[in-house]
Amino acid sequence: MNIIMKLSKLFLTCFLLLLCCGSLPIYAEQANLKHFASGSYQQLLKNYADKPFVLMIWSIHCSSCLKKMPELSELRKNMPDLNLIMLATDDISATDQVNSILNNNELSQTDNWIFAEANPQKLRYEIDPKWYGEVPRTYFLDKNHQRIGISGSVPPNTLETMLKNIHE
Amino acid sequence: MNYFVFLGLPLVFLTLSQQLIASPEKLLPEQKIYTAAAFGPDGRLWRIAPSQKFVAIDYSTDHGKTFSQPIRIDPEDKPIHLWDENPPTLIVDSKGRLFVLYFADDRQASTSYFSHSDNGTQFSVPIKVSFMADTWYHYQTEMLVDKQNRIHFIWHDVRDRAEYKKQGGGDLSIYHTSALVGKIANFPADRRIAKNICSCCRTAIAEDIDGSLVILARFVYPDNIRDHGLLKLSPDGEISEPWRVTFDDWQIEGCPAHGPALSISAEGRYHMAWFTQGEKRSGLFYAWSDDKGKTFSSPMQIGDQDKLPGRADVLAVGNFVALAWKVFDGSKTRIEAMYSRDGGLHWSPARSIVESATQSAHPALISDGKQVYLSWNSMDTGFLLIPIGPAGSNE
Repeated sequence: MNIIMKLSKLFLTCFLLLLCCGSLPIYAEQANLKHFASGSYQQLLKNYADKPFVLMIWSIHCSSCLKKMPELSELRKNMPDLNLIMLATDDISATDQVNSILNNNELSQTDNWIFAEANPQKLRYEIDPKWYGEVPRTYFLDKNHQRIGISGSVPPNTLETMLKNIHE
Repeated sequence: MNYFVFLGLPLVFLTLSQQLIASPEKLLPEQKIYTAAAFGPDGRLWRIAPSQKFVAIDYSTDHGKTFSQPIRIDPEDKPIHLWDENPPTLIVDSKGRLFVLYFADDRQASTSYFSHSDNGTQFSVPIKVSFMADTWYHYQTEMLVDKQNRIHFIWHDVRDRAEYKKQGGGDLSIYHTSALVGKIANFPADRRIAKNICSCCRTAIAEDIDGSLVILARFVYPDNIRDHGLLKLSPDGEISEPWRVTFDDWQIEGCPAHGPALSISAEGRYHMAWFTQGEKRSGLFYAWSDDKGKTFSSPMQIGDQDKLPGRADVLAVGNFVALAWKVFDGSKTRIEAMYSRDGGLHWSPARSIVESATQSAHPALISDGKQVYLSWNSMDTGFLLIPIGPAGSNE
């Protein structure tokens, strides 16, 4: 009886430990994914006042966006001073997937955002009233925030030219 | 001892169930706006009413003002996974039988499920549509019941991924399966009917008067040109080679997430609507064809270019043709519509029909055989059924 009781206690302790571990939040390797709401684009312009930056808009469902990730990761390593902002147009319920893609591509330390507004069309319009929502969509802004938007994957030579232009 | 055994066992289940709940599938918000509606032979308006955990069916006898007590399709909860470009489909045939297609997370996200009912009082246990539903991600499934009482499904399937890897342009294949309407326990092996399809743009399907299925999809042409093509599936199952029907030259290695619409009139005229941002043409367009899609009329531009017109649906009932689309002015989404009484040759002015300040589904056009209606849903308006054109004018 005594042995069974001890075993039961051991099992219970294990279960309780498992439960506790399961509910502990995992902080390591998480991207600081900020919520992009109405007004956030204007906030970005303020955050990067007088600075050039690249805004790369993407989605977890967009294969062309995912294919581009390793290239962006390389770009960050080669140009550590580049202001690269990444914005996922997925719903905040996809936060885990967005984080995991950013982490896997060593992009968790970029300025990362995710759409967080019930009407995504409103957010798209605030960024650009001419943008229909196709992704990837990349904006290149110079220090005066004069910008050029490109839909679809940006070819390497175009990327190079655009980066050169906004940093002139 | 008993205390620990009895406490221990529920803990095992609690731990297991926590793991099940903690799976990547999460409940998605705003599933309820992705409704689908269809008229029955007795004039009742049937509707798929989704929630986050199940879909239910209800009906209205007063054109959508009030609805009956909804009946659940699947007694088991499953995360429902619909989005604007991946809505459910409801078909009610001339005998009043209901056919339901919807998407829920299972081993693959947004797996396609089918259920049917003889009269809407009870529904068959939902079955998976794709033969490889558990192993390959598939979505944007379309359903059609043809005049021979055969039910067809076409969908976007990533199972040929290895084949496309070299090109890497985000393209996939369309698969097809079909069965005779009746007590369908499962579907026969499916087969590929088209390749190099733009992965994120919903495909359109319609039945021609000769009984063939006509499929309109956004293809990935060489150099990442994403224009539209047609293909046909004959009644004896022969698949045609696809042929290109739009020549806008939209070059994009990315996701337009904006599929076309197709309707074929009782006279056999094809009506199509599509969106493009091509080099040669940009915006929302409509065209018709009298030679089974070989050639089309010159594209007619739809909507106010300053308000992001898109998401058009088209429906032809005899010579009456209706178009409905979405516009956005920065704060409000509006559904605009126009109609033609001569098969698409001349059109009424575009008219704003309804508006919403919140998230909304794409507009859909349905008919009871006499009148064309807009079926639409948004977070602030709720489900709406609105006649297009002067009432009773389009018979």
